[in-house]
Amino acid sequence: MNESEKLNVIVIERSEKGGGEALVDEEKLLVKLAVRGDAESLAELLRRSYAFLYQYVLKATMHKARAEDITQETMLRAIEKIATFQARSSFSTWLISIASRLMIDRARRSERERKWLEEEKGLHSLRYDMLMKQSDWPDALDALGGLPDSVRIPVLLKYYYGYEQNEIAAMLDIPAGTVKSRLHNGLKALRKEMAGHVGQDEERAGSTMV
Amino acid sequence: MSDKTRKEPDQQWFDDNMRKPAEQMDKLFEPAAPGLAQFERMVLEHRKTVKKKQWRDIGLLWLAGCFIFSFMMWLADRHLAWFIAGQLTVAAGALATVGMKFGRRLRRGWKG
Repeated sequence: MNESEKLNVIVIERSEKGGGEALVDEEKLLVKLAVRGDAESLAELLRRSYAFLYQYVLKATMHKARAEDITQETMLRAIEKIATFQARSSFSTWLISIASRLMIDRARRSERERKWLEEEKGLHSLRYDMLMKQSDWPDALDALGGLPDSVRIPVLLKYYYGYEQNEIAAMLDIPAGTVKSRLHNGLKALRKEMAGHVGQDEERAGSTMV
Repeated sequence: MSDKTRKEPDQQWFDDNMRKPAEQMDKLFEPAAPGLAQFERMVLEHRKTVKKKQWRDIGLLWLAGCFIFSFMMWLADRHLAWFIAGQLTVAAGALATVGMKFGRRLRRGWKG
C-alpha cells in the first residue's frame, strides 16, 4: 500500500467518525504527506484552499484579473516551496502569507500612476459584476478599494481574518511597528471615507424631501 | 489606555461597518474550484518545469564557475598583483553584502 492509499484509508476512517477535529487531523496528514513529496496530497490541499485564497486575494487587490493571476502564482510558489513548509501555521495561512508578499512585491514594482489606473479599472469591473449579480455595491467596498494595497492587506488580515499584529508582521516581512501604523492609518481612512458616504446619503435624502 | 482596550473598538467598528459587505463579496465571487485531477496535473507539470529549470541553472553555474576559475588561474599565473587586488575587492564586496543583509535584519529586530 503506497502513501496515497494509506491516506485514503485514514481519510475514510476519519470521515466516518465525522466532526471538525477529524478535518483538522486530515489536513495535518495531508500536509505531512505533501511535504514528503506526495503530489496527490498537495493537489488536495490546493483544491481545498483555492476558493479561500482567491477570495482573500480578490479583497486585497480589488481587481479580478490580478486576483486570478496572483492566486495561480501563489499555488505555483507553494508547489515549489512545499518541502520547506514547517506546519507551524495552517496551510491556508501559509498560502495567505505567500500571496500577500507577492501582492506587495508587485505593488512595489509597478508605477504609481499605472497602478492607480489599473485599480480604478479593476474596481469598476468588480462593481459592474456585483451589480449584475445583485442589487447594489456597498460603500464599504468602495472605501476598502480606495486604500493602497500595502494598507488594505494588513487591515483585512487583522480585522477580517483575525490575525495578530506580530503574525501579520511575520507574514508580510515588515516590522510590527509598521503594521501598527498601517492599521491605524487604514482604519482612520476607512472611517473618514465612510463618514463622507453617510454625509452624501443624508444630503441626497434631504434634497429629495425638499 | 492598554493596547487591548484600544484595539477592541476598532474591531467593533470594522465588524459593524465592513464585515457584512466583505462577506457579501466573498459569497458573490466564490469561484468554482477545478477538480482534483486538474490540480494534480498542475502539481506534476510544475514540478517537471522546476526540475528542468534547476538543471539548466546548475549547468550555467558550473559553466560560469569553470570560466571564472580558469580566468583566475590565468591571472594568478601572469599578473599576481592584479589577482590579489581582485580577490580583495571580491572579499570586500561579499562582506558589505552580508553586513547590509544581516544588519538590516538586526535593526528590524531591535525596532520590533
